Amino acid sequence: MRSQQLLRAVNGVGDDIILEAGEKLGLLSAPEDVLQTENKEDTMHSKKRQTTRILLIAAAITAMLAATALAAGLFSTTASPVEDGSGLSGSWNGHTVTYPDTQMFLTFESGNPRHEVYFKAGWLPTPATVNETGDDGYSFYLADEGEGSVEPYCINSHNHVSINDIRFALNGKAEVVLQDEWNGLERTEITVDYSGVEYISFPTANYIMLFDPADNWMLQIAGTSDMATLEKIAENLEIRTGDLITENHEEGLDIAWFDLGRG
Amino acid sequence: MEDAQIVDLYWQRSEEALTETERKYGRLCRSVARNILENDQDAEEMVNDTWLAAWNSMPVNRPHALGAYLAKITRNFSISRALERSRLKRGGGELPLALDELAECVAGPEDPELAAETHELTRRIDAFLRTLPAVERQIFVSRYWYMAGVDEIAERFGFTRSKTSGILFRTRKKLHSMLRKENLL
Repeated sequence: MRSQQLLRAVNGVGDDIILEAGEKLGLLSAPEDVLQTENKEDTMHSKKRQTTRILLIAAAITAMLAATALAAGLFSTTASPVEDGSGLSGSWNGHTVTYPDTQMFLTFESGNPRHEVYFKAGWLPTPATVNETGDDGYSFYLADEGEGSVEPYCINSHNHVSINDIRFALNGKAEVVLQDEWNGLERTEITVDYSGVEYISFPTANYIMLFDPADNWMLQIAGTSDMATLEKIAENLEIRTGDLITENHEEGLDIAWFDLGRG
Repeated sequence: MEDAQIVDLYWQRSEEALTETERKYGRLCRSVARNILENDQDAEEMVNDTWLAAWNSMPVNRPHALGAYLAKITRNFSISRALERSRLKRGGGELPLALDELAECVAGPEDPELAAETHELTRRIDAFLRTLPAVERQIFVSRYWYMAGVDEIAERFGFTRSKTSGILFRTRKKLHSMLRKENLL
């Protein structure tokens, strides 16, 4: 099935369904004066948004199929660049902390209750040297911390931080190389160049963040392995949503870092 | 005026049908067109085309829900216009090709097999939407039928933007799961 078929198919849903939503949007039997006011406002902005709207139609349709990366404006994972040298400051238990090298930070937005997440790794490039796994066989942290200046991979569930309240800093030269909807999750892939960053001993690292805004959890697969290797780890994960998180373990924290090899 | 009375006017070939249609459903159709086209002039043209199509189709048709009937016509016209505009403005690459393919589909399926598949898909999506809680269904239809913006939907439903995005995301996941389960992907 192709996306254009879905477009056509959606058009034919029941009249009652269409009118029900139209009524909620206030489109039925509205006074003319409201219409006139809205016309004026829209005229002011219409030209500016005209081109992008055409793309958004295709994006919205494509996103429905969860096929490719065009769900513009729908992602709840946001990567924000930081101006060179301005750094990023935040609070941690009443103290102000500053990361002067920050070049990008990520936020994960969801209004839904937060859940734990656990996983089983179906494939790993090398055996894990750190293994936090429960009796049911599901892990919340697995890593090969490597030797010397490599850390091939780590998989971190971030169950213990309040992910929606925190800006996650990346302190090297970070670039988002992919953001799409993947297996029903938001996937963000980032490559970071750490050359010149004193406290990190490897030149580059790759990061994959998997975020589920519905159940509000985030899983990170990161490492000095290449992106294809990390993607293969991700593709072979069996992911299980865990319990509702009712306790905030990290009160007073609004900044943290993603960087591997940092303390 | 009730829908049945307006439809009667069409059947009588009374021009009052158009006046009543504009009065009752002008806002609905204009909003559908503007959400898709983001251009008042084009939207107005699509609404006028809708009134003409309605005039030409009644008789023979006698729609039970006139608003939905008209809005569907507007939506099809508007999508066709948006795709045509995109084809004219953009250069090479895959996106224009994909949009051209969409335009062909919107213009009307020539392939009977494709038409039958699409009809079946409509039936499944309709059934799927009816399984959803009312609010989820309304939000989904607002976004993917009316092409309303997430901010506008959030405001109308009294939710935050993130909650609205979360609901849309969850519903898409459910739809994807249903389509996969039914071997429709």
